[in-house]
Amino acid sequence: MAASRLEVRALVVERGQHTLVDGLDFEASAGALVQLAGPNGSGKTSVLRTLAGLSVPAAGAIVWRGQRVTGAAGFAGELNFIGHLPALSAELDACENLAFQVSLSCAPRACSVEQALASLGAARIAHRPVRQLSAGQRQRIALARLVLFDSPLWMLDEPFTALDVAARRLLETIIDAHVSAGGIVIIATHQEFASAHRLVRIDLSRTRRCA
Amino acid sequence: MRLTGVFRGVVGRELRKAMRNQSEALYPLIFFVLAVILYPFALGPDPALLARVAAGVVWVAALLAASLSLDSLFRGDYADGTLELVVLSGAPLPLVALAKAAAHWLLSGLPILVLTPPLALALELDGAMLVTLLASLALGSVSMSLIGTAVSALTVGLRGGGMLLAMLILPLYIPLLIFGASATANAALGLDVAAELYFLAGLLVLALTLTPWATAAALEIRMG
Repeated sequence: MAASRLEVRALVVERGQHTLVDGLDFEASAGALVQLAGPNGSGKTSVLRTLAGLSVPAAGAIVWRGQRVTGAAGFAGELNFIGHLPALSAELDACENLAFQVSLSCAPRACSVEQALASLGAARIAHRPVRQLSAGQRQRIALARLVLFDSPLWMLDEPFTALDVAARRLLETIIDAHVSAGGIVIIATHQEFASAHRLVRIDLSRTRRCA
Repeated sequence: MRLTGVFRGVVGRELRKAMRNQSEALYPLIFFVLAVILYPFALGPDPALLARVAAGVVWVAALLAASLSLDSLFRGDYADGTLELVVLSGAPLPLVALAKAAAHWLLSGLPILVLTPPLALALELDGAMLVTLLASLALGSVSMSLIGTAVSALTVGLRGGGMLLAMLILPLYIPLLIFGASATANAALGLDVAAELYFLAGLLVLALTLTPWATAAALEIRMG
């Protein structure tokens, strides 16, 4: 298999009649940490969803391991996507939610559901229905998917939202560990965050062609 | 085996959600019972008249109850982001669709079949007619779940999706209704009902082979 490498070529992302990003080009190979930055409304979420295959780009190409990716199943088990929705059913508890995702995902499992929750400091809330949990607790459970699955490519949409200081540190450590291990992390956030690695910052407000 | 794991994962999750949220699972069934019981009040206690309309009444009530519960089949998953993960997971979407339809049948079609005999007695329907009604409903309800899953996937996340779903789904159910109700009418006259049941079985095979792929395509459109 070709080395893990994501290439984005001349990507155009539109939303409705609006062009959010025109001509986005970047490459990320093993050990890359990329931040999609920009003010609210600059298209961070739309671009990340397009990269993941959840939306169709207006033009341009997304290439993973030398193969062009089209459609949501394009990365199969190699992508770990954390959107701004936590993807947790309110009726079920954290273990049941994550066990369901394990049953679906093609990605190899790196540890047990309980271990993944514990590494995000969420072991105590593992058996409470998600509807009783706060936004920060839900985000911790959603982020446990990063530890649970062994996927080389991570795409995180505003992962620091609602997290307390301790959880934020924990997430920064987890991201650093993944990058050190040769993973690729793409984060869409307007927030500053600490990392021991070189951060490639892409300001989406500068990639728009002026009308 | 991963494929059975996907199927069991989806069905198990739906059943567990229904157990935790029993009221939402029960409302369509209560609606079914009430809708059927309304007819004797409206038409009066004439046994011959009730027996003649009974099969149609049960069929219409079952169709309406099934379409009520279809609205929530994908709505929660769409709202909380689970559907995004399902699409991204690489799991075969037609299989996920089939599992969703199976769960819908277990939570809607099967209880309706169980509730039908006591209701049929209230409508003066018995003997061969009841057996025929149950056989036609058993075949038809599976098709209802399969077709309904596809339309539910197509309308998930749209504004006014519930009404749109009902408007799209009820015309699609008309063939089921025609053959289901006429099978029981034939049984009342002592005629052979095999043709109608074969036709319902044919529709079921058609739904089984087409709708999982239609649902998968609909989900990809709605997510894209």
